[in-house]
This record gives sequence, structure tokens and C-alpha cells, in this order.
Amino acid sequence: MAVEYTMEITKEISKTLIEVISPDELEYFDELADTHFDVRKPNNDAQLGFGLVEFGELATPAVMTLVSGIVAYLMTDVVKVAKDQMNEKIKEKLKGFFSKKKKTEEEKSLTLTKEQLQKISELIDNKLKDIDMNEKTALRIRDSLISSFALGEE
Amino acid sequence: MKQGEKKLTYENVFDYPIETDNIFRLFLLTITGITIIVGNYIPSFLFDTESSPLAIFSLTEFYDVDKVFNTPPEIFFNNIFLFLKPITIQFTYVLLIFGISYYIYKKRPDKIIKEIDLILIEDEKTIGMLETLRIKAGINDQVSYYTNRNIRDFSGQVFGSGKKMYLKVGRGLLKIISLKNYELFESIIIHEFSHIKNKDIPKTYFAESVLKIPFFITLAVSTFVMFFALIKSIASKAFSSELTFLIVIEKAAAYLNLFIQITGLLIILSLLFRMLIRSREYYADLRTASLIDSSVQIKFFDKSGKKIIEQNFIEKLFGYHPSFIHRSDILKDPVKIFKPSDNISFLNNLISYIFITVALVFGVSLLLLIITLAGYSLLYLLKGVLNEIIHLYLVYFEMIIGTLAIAVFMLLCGNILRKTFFSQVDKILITQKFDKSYKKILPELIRLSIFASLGVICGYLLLPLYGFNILNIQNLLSIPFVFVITFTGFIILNTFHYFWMDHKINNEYKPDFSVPVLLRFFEGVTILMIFLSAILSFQFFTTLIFS
Repeated sequence: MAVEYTMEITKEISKTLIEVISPDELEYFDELADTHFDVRKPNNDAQLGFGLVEFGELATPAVMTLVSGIVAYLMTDVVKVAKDQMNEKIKEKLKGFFSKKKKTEEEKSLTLTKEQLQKISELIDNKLKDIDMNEKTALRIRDSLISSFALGEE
Repeated sequence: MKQGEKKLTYENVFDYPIETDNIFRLFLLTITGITIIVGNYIPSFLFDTESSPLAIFSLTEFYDVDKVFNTPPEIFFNNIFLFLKPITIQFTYVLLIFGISYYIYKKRPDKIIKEIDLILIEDEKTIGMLETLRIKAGINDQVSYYTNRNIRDFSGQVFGSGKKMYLKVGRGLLKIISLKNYELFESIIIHEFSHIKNKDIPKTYFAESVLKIPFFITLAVSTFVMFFALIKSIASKAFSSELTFLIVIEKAAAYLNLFIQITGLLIILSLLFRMLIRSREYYADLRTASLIDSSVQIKFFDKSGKKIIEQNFIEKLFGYHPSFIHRSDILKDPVKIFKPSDNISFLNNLISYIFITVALVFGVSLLLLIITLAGYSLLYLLKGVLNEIIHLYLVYFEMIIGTLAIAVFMLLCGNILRKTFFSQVDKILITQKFDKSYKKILPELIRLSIFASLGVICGYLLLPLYGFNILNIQNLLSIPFVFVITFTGFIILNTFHYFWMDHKINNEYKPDFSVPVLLRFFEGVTILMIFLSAILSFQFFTTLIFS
């Protein structure tokens, strides 16, 4: 169940980001998101076959990878819960971090410190190095993701 | 124009002889040969009969006019039956294997469609887009278009059997890449159509079916038959109280030897098959580059080459695709496709050795048998109608026809070997025309001859035929002598062929690789002689060393 919550939150947050970064992918977003969690990969060494393992201009797989990494970080280092303890309540709480809107008094805990944002920024940069995608899309994704977080008062 | 001044264009590549066509032909013939060899073990092991009818009767007996005249009908029919029994078993086995292979080849497209869950594309707009690219690629035959349900599948694949051809366009390629990067989509689809244009589908898929069936059936049958014979032989010795530990070891070693040889051969054939498929990818890349802007492919290969982890040794050997870096190199400088290959030279001669040995042992035997059987039956049936003198003339006439048939058969074999053998030397010639820095002709010829000779020796070690034993030290000691003989023959022939062709083509850049009939005859006969010398010298030196 905890895994399903993690998948759900990754998908929901990613969809919100894709709406901004690459709206033309929304038509196939659900399919792309579902295959992200599927470990089976198409056979890229088929006899007389030719093609790409990953399409670098596609933002969804990269966003999904980054969001799942950030969610894992927020859970362990910020909210401080184990992965198998994920539930609806924590899911909603985590979603709150990915919102730039002004936080109410109750939502104050859903902001990040400068250090935490720095860590997320490093995490994004490291992951982007491993993802096969073009630089322009990578930069757009990075900026959108970082700007979605709100900083707390020092 | 001075040598090395002209650059080889993508279109030019297809003006020159394509070596893989000959290797595919030789590959199929070798598989047939191995199937015959294993088919040959069935009667000898399973039915307690001699493997070759020649071992049962001396052929001359059938041409003895007196004997034919005095043979009663029951002996006549018995002789014919004894002759036919082993041959029928061997060739029924071969026909069965090829029948199953053909059936699998015909059913392969349906299996692929089912296996990867493909859906027929019915949307007219998509079909129209793919049809435009088919026409652009110069394909006149009809192609059926399929896609799948995997949005992360950004690849295309062609398959088919006979005239039926299919193109799979991955859902991701069709729905996403075609919209976001049409140039890339076009280059992937044209690459696939290039496989059709280069006639890769029938060649590779038929070869695959033939390889798969003999690989599994042959290995299973040979293992079963030989193991059965081993147990039977040990059991009979045990019952007669003659069984010693040494006898068991000796029998088990013979079994192991055959098993190693057959397995080794089938693994090598699989490697060769993969190598052939990989080489077809280069040709598909070059065909694509001749039709659309090559920079799209080069950019894609360069980028992917940097991102993808390099294949390990096993992946490189058994993979269906060459590395992206190598593919990019060939597109940047197409003359590199004509770089002579030591591996191909080695494997070419390994399978050539098997092909020619099988052709000699089984092809010639079969021809002799057909001629003898037909002649014997004719003489017997005409008994009493014609006098003895006319019968004798009939015997002479038949012998002449038989000799001519065998000569023609051997020349055909020699021609197949010739075409495959010189493909590497012709590559040196083409490279030399377009690359002035390429000056080391003689060292290249020497290297090719060394690898070709090593191929013959490995063929000898792996061929499971009479007396050739990989575990036999006597056989192994004869190797250096055989190497010297074959190498000398190959280097002389390679050098002669190179300089004769060079003189003919000169610096005109004309891709005229036709060879006059007389020269073809000379080269074919010489190659046959070298292979024949290798076969005989293995036996000769083995006997000489230990006599």
C-alpha cells in the first residue's frame, strides 16, 4: 500500500509540473507515468530493429525520476518517516511541499530551509546527469522543480 | 585522377560486391553439412548399420557384367535395399530438419505479432505517412504496419517471410517522436525500410530458422543417439564380462569428443550468424544516409554512443547491433565498411572447410551412389535384352557421365568458395582505391592468409568426421604442417588475385569485379586443391609422425 501511495504522489506531482513544462505530453501522460514504474523495458536489440532507449526530448520520464527522488528525500530527511510508513496523510503533507502558494500558519512546516533546498537542487543536478535528455528540456525541468518549493522564514 | 583523391559516396558502397550475401549462402550450406553429418550418425549408432553404403559394397561389384547377369531377383532387391537404407535415413533426417525450419520461417511473423502483442495500424493518416516514407525508400512491395501498446517503445523493426513484409512502429515512436522530432522519426523508419531494400528479411529470418532448428534438434538428437550407443556398448561389454575401467573411459572419451565438436560448431555458427546480422545494420545505415540527410543519424549515434554503457565482450559477440560509435565512424567515412576483417576471414574458412569436406564425403558419395544404383538397375533390367558387349559399353558410358557430374559438382563448390574467399581481398582493393594512406597491402594479405589458415585448422578440429578427433594428440601434432601448406597456398592465391584485379580495375574507380570464366575456373580449382591438400595432409602427417 505504501508503495502505491508513493507512486500516486509521484504521478500527481509530476502531472502538475508537466502541465507547465510540456503540456503536449499530457495526452500520453498516464501511459508514460505507468510505464515509468514498469521494470520491463522494450527489447532494443531486436533482430533488424532500430530505435531509441529513451527519447531525450520527452520531459515526463525525467520529471517522474526527479520527483520520486525528491519525494524519497523529503520523506527521510524532512518529514522523517520510513518509506513503508507512507499513508494518505503523509502523502498529502508531502504534496504540500511542492506548492509555491503562501503557506498558512498550519502549513508552515511545509516549507524548506535554504540547506534543504540546496540539497534538493544538488539531487536534481546529479540525477539529470544520468538522464538521457537534451540540455534545453533539462534546464526547463530543473527551474520548474526548484521554483515549486517555498522557502521558510529563517 | 590520382589514387585516393576520390571520396566514396553512400551510393557508391552499393556498387561494390556485398560480401555478406556469399557468407549467408555458405552459412546455410554449412548448416546443411552439419545436419548431414549428424544425420549420418543415426543409422550407424541407432540401427547398427554402416553409415555409408560404400562401406557395405564395393562399387566395382555393381559394374561387374558377369555378376549382374547371374544375380537372382531376391539378391538384386536385397542389394538395392542395403544401398538405400542408410541414405534414406540420413536424407530423411535432413529433409525433416529443413521442412521444420521452413515451417518455422513461414510462421515467424505471426509469432512475432503475438509475442510482442502487436496491433494492426488502421488509421489512414498514419498509414499515409508511412507509405510516403516507403516510396521515398524505393520499396515497391506492400508492407503491413503494426504498432504496440508500449508508449516507451521508441523503436522500429521489420520482419516477414517470403513476399509478406511487416513494419513494427513502437507506440512511442509513432505517437511522440513523429510529432516532436520528425527528422529522427523519418531516419528510423527509412532505416527499417532500408533493411527491406537490402533484402535482409528473407536472408536473416530464414537463416535464423534454419540455425535454430539444427541447433536444438541436432544437439538433442546427437546427444541422445551417441549417449544411447555409449550405454548400449558398455552394457554389452558388461554382460559378456569384458568390461574394464579403461574401456569405459575410452567409450566415454569418444562420446565427449563428438559432443564437444558438435556443440563447438553450433556455437561458432551462432556467432557467425550474429556477425552477419550486425554487418547488415551498417548497410541499412548507409542506405538510409543515401536517401536522407546523414547528419541526423550521425548526431544520434554520437549522442547515444556517449550515453550508453559500452557492451561487454559477450554482448558484443552475441548482440544483433554494432556499437553506435562504430556505426557513426562508418557513416562519417563509408570506405571503412570495406576494412578487411580477420574474424570474417577466420570464420569464412572454418565453415568453408566444413562445407567442402561434407561436399566431398557426402556429395560425391551421393552422386556415386545415384549413378551406381541407376546403372545397376538399368543393367539388371536390360539383362537378356542386350548382349554383353553393349552392356559393357553402357557401363563405360555411365562412368563417363558420372565423372562429369562429379566434376561439375566440385566446380560449383569451388565457385561458392571462391566468391566468399576473395571477399576480404577485394575489400583491400576497394579501400586502396579510396584511401591513399592505405599502403600495407602485403602485410594485410599475409594477415588474412594467416587467419584463413587458422580457420581451416579449427574447422578440422571441430568437424566430427572419421578419425578427426579434438582430443587426439596425433591429430593435434599435424597442425603445424597443415598450417604451412594452407598458408602457402592462400598467400600465393590472395596475392595473385589482388594484383590481377588491381591491374584490371587500375585507378578508374570502376566497380567492375567481374572475373573471366577461365580465371574463375583456375581460382576455383586452386582453392579446391588447397582445401583438399589440407584434408589429406591432416591424415598424412598424423600417420607419418607416429609411424
